[in-house]
Amino acid sequence: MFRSALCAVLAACAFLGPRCTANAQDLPQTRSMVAIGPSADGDLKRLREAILRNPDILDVSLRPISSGVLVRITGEFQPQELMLSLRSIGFDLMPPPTRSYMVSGPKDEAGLRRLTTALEAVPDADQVMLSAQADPVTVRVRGEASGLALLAAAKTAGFELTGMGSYAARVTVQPAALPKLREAVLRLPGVRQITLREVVGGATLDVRGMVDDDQLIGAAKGAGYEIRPLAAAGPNRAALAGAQPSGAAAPSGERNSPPGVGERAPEDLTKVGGVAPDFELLMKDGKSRVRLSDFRGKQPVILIFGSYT
Amino acid sequence: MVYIREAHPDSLLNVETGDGNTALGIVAQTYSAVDRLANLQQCVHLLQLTMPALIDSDDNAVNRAYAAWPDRLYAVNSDGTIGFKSGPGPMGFKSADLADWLKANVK
Repeated sequence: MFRSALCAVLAACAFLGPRCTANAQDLPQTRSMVAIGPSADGDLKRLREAILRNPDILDVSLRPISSGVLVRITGEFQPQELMLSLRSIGFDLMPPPTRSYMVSGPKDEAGLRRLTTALEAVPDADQVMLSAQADPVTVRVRGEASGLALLAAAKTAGFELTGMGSYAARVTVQPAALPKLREAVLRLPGVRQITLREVVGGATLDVRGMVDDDQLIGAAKGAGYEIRPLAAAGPNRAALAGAQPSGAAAPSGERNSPPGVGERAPEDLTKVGGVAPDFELLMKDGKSRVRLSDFRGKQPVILIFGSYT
Repeated sequence: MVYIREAHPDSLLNVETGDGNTALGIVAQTYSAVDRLANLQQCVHLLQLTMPALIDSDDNAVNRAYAAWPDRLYAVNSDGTIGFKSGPGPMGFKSADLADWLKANVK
């Protein structure tokens, strides 16, 4: 949270990439992003109205998706200004996810053009970026297009795609079932490393290698497990495949994660003048504990709630 | 400081690797006091925090009681009542307002 001011600027430019500088001569462009916030009908209406308050925005479409609301905006706008105005009504704005793939298939120009056209035709594939000169050839697809739909589209064009990057998820699973889940995930071709860590209520799953989110979710489902991504396909997730030493160009970016259940409480329970809820918590040494009411009658206490991110 | 659930666990950030270097990584969301303690200790070390720091329990009870996520400021009077309460972060997290309250109320 302490980094959020700087990263808001980085995230704003991540929306547009090379188009970060607006050009008044350009035809109106349609760009996608994901809004995280309340999703009742009245909230979507407020979201649309807030976006359309910008006179240079010509059209906006909203569609609820699993990670939030897919927002497609046609027109010109300043991403950071839009982010701030939407935050004031309870929405966080995130750049669209990007999936990275290795491409297997014909490497001639006509073939690669066919692949690009096929991928661009997949619903919600906003931008297809092919690195034709790289070895192996890779493609990045920005937007909310389904991974399985991208794989199918590539196949009809005569290509195979292999997902790149890593994947983090949370699983509701009993400890005894962890080996079975590990086995199911390891069966996926391209999985290089899997870490399952037991936490309260289940486990966290981290998968490294050539893996596609949808294939992973499908494999887990086939073995009887539901996995919920901790990180939706984020920008340049291939960067997670190996750590970079300090000093290397750092394409870091902050994503605004959705609140947990009940975190955006409809009403606060505390009131100025009311009694502060008592608590006893563990200190940073991991051993001693402190109770808030121990300070009663002695001194006021400042509570700074937050986290590293 | 009361360390609660991460605000941006999906973010790609430069994090310390423990050998004096930094690397790109994700600070994972925490679901247990043990995980939260590890993140807090990294936070304290990196930001050179000297104030007392506590970790919220596994069930996020204190976070919920104070509607704290992603970040928030409170001042509790010596009689146990709430003297100051900021808006929810990030927009409401205004340390200047807390500073003004302290100047006016704490001698």
